Amino acid sequence: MHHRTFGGKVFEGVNHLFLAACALLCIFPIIHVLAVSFSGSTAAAAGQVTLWPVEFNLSSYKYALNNPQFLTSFLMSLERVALGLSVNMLLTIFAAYPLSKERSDLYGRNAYSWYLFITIIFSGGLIPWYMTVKQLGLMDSVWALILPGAVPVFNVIILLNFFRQLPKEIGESAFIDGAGHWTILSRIYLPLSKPALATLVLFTCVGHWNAWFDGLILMSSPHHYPLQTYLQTIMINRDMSLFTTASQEELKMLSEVSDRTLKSAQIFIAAAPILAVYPFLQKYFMKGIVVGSVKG
Amino acid sequence: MASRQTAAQTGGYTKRARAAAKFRHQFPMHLMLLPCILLVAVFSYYPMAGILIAFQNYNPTKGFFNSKFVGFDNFNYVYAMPETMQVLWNTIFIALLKIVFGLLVPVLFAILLDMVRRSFVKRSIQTLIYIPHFLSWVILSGILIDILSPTDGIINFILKGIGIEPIFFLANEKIFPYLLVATDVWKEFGYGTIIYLAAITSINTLLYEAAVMDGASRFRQVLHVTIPGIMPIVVLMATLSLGNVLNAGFEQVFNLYSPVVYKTGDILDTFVYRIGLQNSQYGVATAVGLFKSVVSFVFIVTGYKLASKFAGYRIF
Amino acid sequence: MEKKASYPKILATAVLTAAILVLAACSGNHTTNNESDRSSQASQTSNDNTGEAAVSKAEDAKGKYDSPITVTSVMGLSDQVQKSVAIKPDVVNDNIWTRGYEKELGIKIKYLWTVPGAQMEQKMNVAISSNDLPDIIPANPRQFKMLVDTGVAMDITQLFDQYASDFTKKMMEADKNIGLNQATVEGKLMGIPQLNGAIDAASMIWIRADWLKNLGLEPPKTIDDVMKIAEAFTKNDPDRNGANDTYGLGLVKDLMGGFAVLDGFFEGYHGYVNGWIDDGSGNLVFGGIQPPIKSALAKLAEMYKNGYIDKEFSVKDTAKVAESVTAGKVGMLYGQHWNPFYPLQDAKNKDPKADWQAFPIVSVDSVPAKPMINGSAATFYVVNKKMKNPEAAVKLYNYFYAKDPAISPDFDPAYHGKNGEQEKIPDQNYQLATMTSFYPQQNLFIHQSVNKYFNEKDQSVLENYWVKDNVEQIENYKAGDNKLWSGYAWAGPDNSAFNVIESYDKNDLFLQNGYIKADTESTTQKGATLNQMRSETFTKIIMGAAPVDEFDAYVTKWRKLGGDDITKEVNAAK
Repeated sequence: MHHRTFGGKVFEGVNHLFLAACALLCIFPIIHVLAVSFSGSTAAAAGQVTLWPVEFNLSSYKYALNNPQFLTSFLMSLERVALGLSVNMLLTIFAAYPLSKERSDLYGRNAYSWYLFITIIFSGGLIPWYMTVKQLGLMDSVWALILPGAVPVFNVIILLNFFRQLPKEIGESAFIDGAGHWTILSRIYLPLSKPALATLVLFTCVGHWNAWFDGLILMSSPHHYPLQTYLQTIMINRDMSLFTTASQEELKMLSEVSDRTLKSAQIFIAAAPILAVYPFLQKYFMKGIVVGSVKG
Repeated sequence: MASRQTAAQTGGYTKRARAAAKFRHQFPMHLMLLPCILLVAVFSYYPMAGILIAFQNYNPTKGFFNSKFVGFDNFNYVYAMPETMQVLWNTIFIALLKIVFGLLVPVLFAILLDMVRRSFVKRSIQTLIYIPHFLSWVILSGILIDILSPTDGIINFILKGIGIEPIFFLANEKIFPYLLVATDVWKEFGYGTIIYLAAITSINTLLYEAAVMDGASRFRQVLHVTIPGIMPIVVLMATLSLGNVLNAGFEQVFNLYSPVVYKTGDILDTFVYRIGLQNSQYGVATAVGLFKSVVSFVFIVTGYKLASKFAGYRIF
Repeated sequence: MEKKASYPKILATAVLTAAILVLAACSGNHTTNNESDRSSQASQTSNDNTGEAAVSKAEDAKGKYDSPITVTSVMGLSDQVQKSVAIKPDVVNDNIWTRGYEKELGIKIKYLWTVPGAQMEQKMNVAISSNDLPDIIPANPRQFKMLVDTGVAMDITQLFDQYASDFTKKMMEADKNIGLNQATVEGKLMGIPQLNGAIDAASMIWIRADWLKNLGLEPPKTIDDVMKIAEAFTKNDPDRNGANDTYGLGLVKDLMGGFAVLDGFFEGYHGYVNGWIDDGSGNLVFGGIQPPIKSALAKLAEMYKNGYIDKEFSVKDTAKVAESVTAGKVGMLYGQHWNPFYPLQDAKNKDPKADWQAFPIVSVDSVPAKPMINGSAATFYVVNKKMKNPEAAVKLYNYFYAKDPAISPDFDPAYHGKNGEQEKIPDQNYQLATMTSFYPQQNLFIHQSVNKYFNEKDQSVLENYWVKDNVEQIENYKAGDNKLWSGYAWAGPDNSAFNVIESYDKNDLFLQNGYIKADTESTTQKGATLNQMRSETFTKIIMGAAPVDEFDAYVTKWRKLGGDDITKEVNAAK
């Protein structure tokens, strides 16, 4: 670590440059979206905005933030993420811990894991899913957006793999010291799996924040839509053939609903909270984990 | 459970006591799994009755059990369509390339990022590369059409600068599939990097210290500590991603393709979508869905077996 | 010690999780309970739910139910109504229409769900496939067919005849029964059409008149003129900006539709790319495979080669072409009446000189070009077989026709809602009605009356609410409010969209598509393949990636891959 050779320094420089270049490529689109959102609507409609606002103004943000629907949906999304995150993480941890054990430690372990795994691949499809939620009387409630996906099997598999990499001796010696599963899970497994847990927290938040289709199908009124479902209603490509028979009043709304600056502002506002989550979780990716001593 | 108990009984008191201890030891773990098992039963297994639709001429007023069964008609219907084989080939070609690069690029990036010493630089780059994941293909396609335009796009501007004729990327049958792969990797690699970063961070720091003591250079540390350390997660992600062998990315293709590139760019999902537009019956869509599931299953299970055979590692 | 303590903890957490689940289930039930509460309340107020059917029979056929009945439906919300819902969340269930239904008809409306209009199709598809349907089901043509095929739709032939009001029947006549014909399957009326003007869909050419003027050109009379204009717009710097940055004809990658498309161009060659035409012997043949289409494609390939069409049209959707139009790069396009509202208004906002005007489509020879028109209904209200008082559907339909059209004897402007005031009075809007349908010649009527006002100074036309509204907007535009240009370009007196429709009407040029009913079996099965083949072939021919003769191969394939079957079925079902 202490020797920094000339080759090492060159590599470091090149590496920095390369990564920075990639980062630039990645932020290009969001800068475009931002630039459009701060531009005048005619300039945006004419496609004249690239990376810097044209006819700078804030009206689209004012409009978006004054739109009561936007606010309602925003709160709905927050509720969904808060509930979804708690339920998902709790169940992920509860499932990953036993499944990270060997077959000899948990009777039926393999049967359990196949039972869960199958559901990643096979599903009944849209209609039975809808009918199940309907039969359980969950329609139009926030639980309809949470319970069907309450067990994120993919995350369970990821976490159980991380758990399995923890040195077994630690758990065993804790058992000998008389610790129960709960103690071992909460005092040893979870603290040592912070990077994995941070990753799954992120995946779960992003998943719930970005999901829109279930909101559309399972909510009975746009008033209850989460933000991304609402956003989808303004982003969707409209069926032009319906304009032919649209009334004058509907047609008059067309230029408003096709306003690009407004769309861009809403896209940005909707993405901002979730983009802000990552930096908070990043500290868990920065420091390595120290576990006991290493033999040989 | 029964066989163990009989074994315990014949073994006498101590064995029974051991079995009881074992039960006491295991019972909480079964309890932990119980809510998951129940929820999955209700929300995943119960709706699977709907798979029956794949074999039916489904009539909603009659339901899953009383609709007319038609055997494999729905499958044959898709199979007999003139485009099907081409579409299937396109799908596999695009999906496989996406699987390979979608795996390698994030792993490579995670390692390169980990080698950055300055935490500020590392953090900033991490945050920036993960942004494109949050923009939908509807937005990105609009931007890509501009960037790739043969008349005034920046890419062709650069190509012209170095003396290459402008290329109409989005309307070029040969280039289009690669374009899909490249743009998809560009959109998702930053997000994909996160899990490998977590894996690298989870490596016991003492291992690095030991390597340094042995005089290992930075590259040797990567080779002997980092890569073996993240291997289980890489194998896991590789195996699970095999399940996407028929998912070439509906949103992306739908927003970027056009009739001139149908021949190489049309995939199973867009194809089924177009059939579905004409034919709003769920039988065909369910049949294709089931077909995809079976293929995914076969691929993942093969990957699972291979991994456990060669890497000695069972992913779940 | 610690070992013992751990059990209760795990148990406690397990119990907690179970509790969450139970809670969830409860709150789920809660919603259902609420719903049933509401409906039981409804039935309480209606005295006796069971006697309902008997009571209604005794009632006056066209009058009010003595004991109110509850009718369920669903609603796709227009953009305007979505805004209203954001202001007043219960507006869909409590507005001038629902109050009117209850007071005047004794009908309570209960919406099972509402959804933004753009997603109506998707949501309704799920509802149909799960058989989770209300009494009155608004359906698009495909869904209508499905509801008929699966036996959900009620045969309402007699019911409609018996309960439709005189004014409703008058509207059907004004529509020449096209809508009713579309909703008729094997001689039975299976749904109530939401009428719009069939003639509104006619193609027209939109041209930048300021560019014509700059170059000293006249509006086109023939396809050759279109060619010349396209050439001049491409090569002669029509915007006088000194740069070679314009092209003649706007075109979207879909090729067919309502904006920057080819339908009108094909019609200039007497080709009907999506239509069924009489072959002279009384049989219908598909227009999309006839020789005129080939000639038109050859011309288009020439235009593309010469740069009159955007080199990149094959990847550009409406939004992208709209961008070029707004940026002032396109001077001419084939489209429909609604284009001024989007995107031409944007072009006007960007550059007030952009003077888009509408002109009739032109012919390649001496025979006048005829625009094809389709059905008048795109939505059908299907009455669910399970509905207890099916006549209520017709009553609701009558009610809309009574209150909304400004030519109705019972017209009340409050029901329609005032333009631009929906934010102040969100619950007054015609789009909140459970069933809507329009006077088929409404738009043409508005235009003709507006013309009378401006050309003959006839003040009396202002008594009509629609006309007054439009005249006011056009006056405001003329006084300098550029944002209102679209209304002027739509129904105004000079080269507006409805000037063109009126000229078609006067000269009797509309050509009725020979088949406007739901898709036949083979269309459902093979349509996707055939459409894909068509877009592929046409795009390649235009771009020069395939020779024009590729069209003949396409025709052969079209017939073989299902086209012949479709033709047979269409002729049998027409």
